[in-house]
Amino acid sequence: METVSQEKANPQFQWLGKPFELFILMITNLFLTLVTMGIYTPWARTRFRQYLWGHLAFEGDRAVYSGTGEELFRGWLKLFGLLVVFYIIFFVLFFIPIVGMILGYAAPLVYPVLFAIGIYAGTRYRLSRTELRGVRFGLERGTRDFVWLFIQGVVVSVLTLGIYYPWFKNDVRRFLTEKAYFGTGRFSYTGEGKELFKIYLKGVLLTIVTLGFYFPWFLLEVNKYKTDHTQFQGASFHLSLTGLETFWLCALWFFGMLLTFGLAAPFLIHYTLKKVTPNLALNGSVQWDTILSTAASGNATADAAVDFYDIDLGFA
Amino acid sequence: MIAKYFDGKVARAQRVQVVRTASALSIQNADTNEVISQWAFESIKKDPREISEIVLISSDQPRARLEIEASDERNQLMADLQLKAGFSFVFWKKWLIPVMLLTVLISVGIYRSLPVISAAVAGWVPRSQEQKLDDLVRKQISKDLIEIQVPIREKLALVAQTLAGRPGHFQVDVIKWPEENAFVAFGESIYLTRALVCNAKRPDQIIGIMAHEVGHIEHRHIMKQLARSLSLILLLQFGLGDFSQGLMIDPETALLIVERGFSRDMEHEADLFAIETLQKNGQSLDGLVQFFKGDKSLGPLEILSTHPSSIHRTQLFEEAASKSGTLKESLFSQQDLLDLKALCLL
Repeated sequence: METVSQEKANPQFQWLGKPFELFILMITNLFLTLVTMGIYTPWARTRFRQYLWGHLAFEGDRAVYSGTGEELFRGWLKLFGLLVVFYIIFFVLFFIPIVGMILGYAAPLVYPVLFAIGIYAGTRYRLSRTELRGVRFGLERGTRDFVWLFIQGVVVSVLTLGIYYPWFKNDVRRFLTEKAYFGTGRFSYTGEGKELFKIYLKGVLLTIVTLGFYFPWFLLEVNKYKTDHTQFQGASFHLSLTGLETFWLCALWFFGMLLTFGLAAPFLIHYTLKKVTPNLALNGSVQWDTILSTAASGNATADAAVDFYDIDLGFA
Repeated sequence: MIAKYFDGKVARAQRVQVVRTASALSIQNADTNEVISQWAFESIKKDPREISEIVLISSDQPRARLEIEASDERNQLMADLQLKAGFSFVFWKKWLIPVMLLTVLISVGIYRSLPVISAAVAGWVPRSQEQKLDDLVRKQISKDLIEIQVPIREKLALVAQTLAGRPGHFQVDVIKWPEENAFVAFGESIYLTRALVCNAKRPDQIIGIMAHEVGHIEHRHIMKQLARSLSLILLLQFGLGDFSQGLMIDPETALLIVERGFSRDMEHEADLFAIETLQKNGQSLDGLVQFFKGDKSLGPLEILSTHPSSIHRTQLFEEAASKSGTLKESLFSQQDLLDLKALCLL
């Protein structure tokens, strides 16, 4: 049987979206979110993702976002209920002398735990609702291990005044990548903290010396390192974007958003994806015929939590 | 019709020939014509996950999808199957109308009930507990506090008690800040700035400003503000929080503007309290009039400020002063002011 998406030496990613379509979609989302005082948010988010995912293609095959607004709305309601209860309990307990004092000290320690849970569970939800060629992506269970990894990373990074941070970021990337799957296919990561540290050291120093101008190159180097050390079934991802292109994109976003009060966002998203996707490749041979579909996982409450706390998943 | 077919089992796309029979679509291998699947017409619908592409799915094979390239044949098929061929960038559902109406009602309701909610919360927290929060504030600013002699400190506390019309644990301190100002934190503590004390020309300025600050304490403004801010943060975060795709609204700015509106209401309430208590205790309002006449900092940009404009406040106090009855002995004498101003020499 012939397959349309035969293995190629350099499979290419593509952005097929149109800027005006994205603009209409985002404006509609904005309007309906405002007039429903946020109730429409889950549907807005879903439709935005449907468009984004649906216009990202790999070897000509478009991805699909299979999450629903209803699912997100239920997750959002659960999160809202949990937070209201949490705030009320916290507010009442805060005025009880010793408990209040303990809570005051404990609250900052709880935050990284919630943050880590949010990152992991949210990533799990989004991946589980992403499909390509009728096969779902996913992330294995592992929240508890991830929370430990995260807490260790935060504590050691603080104790070493940030020196450990690149190792921490590298560990997070490895953990998330190696838990991720596409059907029966597996991802792997070969990046090393030591190498990432060199990039961070150089990046931070040059960003300071150049009064911030080096930052886009720094950003690119970090993402390039992470991408180039990610594999799928033995094939390697490769990012070939240049520093100058990244600088141009950063400048465009900065001035574009500033001068249009954010109205340029859809056009900037379109331009960025148009620019970045052709520079992303999966080099190597993958036997797609051997990759089979698996069941879905993940829950929408976690996804709502990720967006509520505006957590950057850092999953380039 | 040539199409792309995904069976939902294996990660590959197949190029297929779609043939229409009397009651079904026959999906066949494009090269060998081998039938891969049969989709009954009544089982076919448009994939609702697709916004700008037409993809068909079938309840006979829930995981499979069929991407048919645009053509007259496809459009005819869509028409025959009574499937909408258009794209859905503008999302609209009938349920949005009641949701919108309900939203307006709820928003107005919540907004209108915020003062009631915050007053209930403020009333629920005992003053003694609020005082504990003031102890935390005091620790933070302790290095900026200026030592005042005990008799004058007691005198100021007595003035506060008289203006409040009740015994309390009022405490008045002077803080080393360059602006002429006064504020209350939590509990029953009033902080006057050194600049305010040293530039005061008459005792009724100090009394008037203290009357305003006592107004904040008596109305529990700080606790109300705290409760309102928490409620608003919750509402705005849930209502307008997700604008990663929503463009130009910044919830923090919205929150700031709404909160400043509340803050101005509270300042006005404290002003009215000051007028009432000063008149009741036979104290002059001229000190307040003079103070605000000297402050022209707030003009037309009142909406962006936490306080009503000085022009409006001057008018308010002048009007009240003109209606004041006979004045009694000042609660804070010229000599008291001189004693207080001793700290300006430090």
